[in-house]
Amino acid sequence: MNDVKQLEERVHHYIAEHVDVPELDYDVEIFEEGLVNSLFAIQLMTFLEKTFQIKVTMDDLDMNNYKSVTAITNFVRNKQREGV
Amino acid sequence: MRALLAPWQQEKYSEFTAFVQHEVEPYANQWDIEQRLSPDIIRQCAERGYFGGTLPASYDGQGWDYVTYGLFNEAIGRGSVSLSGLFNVHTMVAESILKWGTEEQKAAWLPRLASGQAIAALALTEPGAGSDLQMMGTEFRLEGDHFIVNGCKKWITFGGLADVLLVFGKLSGTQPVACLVERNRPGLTIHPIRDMLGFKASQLATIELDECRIPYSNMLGRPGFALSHLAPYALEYGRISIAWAALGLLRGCLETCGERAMDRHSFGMPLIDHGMISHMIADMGVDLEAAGHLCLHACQAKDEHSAEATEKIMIAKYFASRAGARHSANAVQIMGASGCNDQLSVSRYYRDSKTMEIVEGSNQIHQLLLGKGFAQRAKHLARRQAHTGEEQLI
Repeated sequence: MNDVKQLEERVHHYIAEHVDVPELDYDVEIFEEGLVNSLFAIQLMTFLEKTFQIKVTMDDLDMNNYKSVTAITNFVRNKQREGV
Repeated sequence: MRALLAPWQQEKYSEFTAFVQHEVEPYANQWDIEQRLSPDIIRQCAERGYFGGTLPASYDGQGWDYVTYGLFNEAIGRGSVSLSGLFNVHTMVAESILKWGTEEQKAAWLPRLASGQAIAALALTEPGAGSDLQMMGTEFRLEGDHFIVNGCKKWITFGGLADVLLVFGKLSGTQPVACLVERNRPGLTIHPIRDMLGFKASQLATIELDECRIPYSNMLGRPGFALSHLAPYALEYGRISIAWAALGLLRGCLETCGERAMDRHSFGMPLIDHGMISHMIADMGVDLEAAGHLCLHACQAKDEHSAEATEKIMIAKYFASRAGARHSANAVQIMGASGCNDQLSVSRYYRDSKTMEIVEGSNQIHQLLLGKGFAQRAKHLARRQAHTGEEQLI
């Protein structure tokens, strides 16, 4: 499994543990579909920061970064490339 | 719990408790009666650097870890829950600026907040919006490079004292936003609220905003994220403060009632030898121990930057505040008539503890979120067990 796939699987696994659906689609919009509670945004942010050694700042406050497993994976990859 | 602390945490805790014993506890009942803190205690806390406890040294803060911040709240809460409320709201705003602020905002505000030169408060709730913040009616309108703000924030802890408020509202009625608003801005009026049940010295206020012009550069974060990211991030610090302050209040109950139960006699024996009294004291001690471990565990998770910290902090706040309410009611019962008098701290514990079940997310909201989280986890584990055949622990 390559690095991107591993990253995506870790994100998928974390989110799947926090939603009540039989199978979590990689492109389903987790906030838009109401799959997570009001605290999940902060839990997710902390998970991403700790697991992938990135820092989420005000510049990253864009819903497109967090809407789905695929979007989150791309966001983390970009942050890692930027080295922040 | 003390044995589980690192040496530097034990040292700071000793410093905090000595300070509270001499400078807070003797005056706390009078502050409640006067419904304000004395300027002298605020000055002393500023001189000791307590307003910048969690902030990094690069902004003139103390750089405490979260366990140390919790210990500080425990010590202050033992003396005065109202005073712990000051550090609660101040830290929520300071940490929000540290996380979401621009470099200019951090440079402009954090050293002043760390030194206590400026005091901050969180203006989130409204007459029609408490637990359900989506009901907020405060409206931000964009005009050039300024927001024009109209609305009313209510029950703002230390709103009557703060130099700067983090005001939440909605941009054009839809996008949640949060802005730093200095108290002297034209269009902002502060109305003190008196005669609260608890937190009586916390100088609550109603904040009215009438065509209040605020530079766009005062916004924290970005439009659309104030309720999903900024408010929950800030409230996590608020829950740490409430959980640990409730722990301090519990300790106050046990220390006061324990002495009384040993020294006072009725029907030919010390109170402690009456089964119903020893039952109440035993439950106080057990819950104090349990709450201490939950608080410590929660802040250790926060120090490790664990995603589980959010839930652990909620558990600690829920448990400690409920225990505080239950045992302060028993403390009044044990102390009898003197427990009903404002000159004795137990009546203050009783009033403050009820409020602690309401603030920073009511305990009913905690039940809703924690309950569903636990149930969901059990379902996931059962499903995994069905797949693997291995027994799983929740």
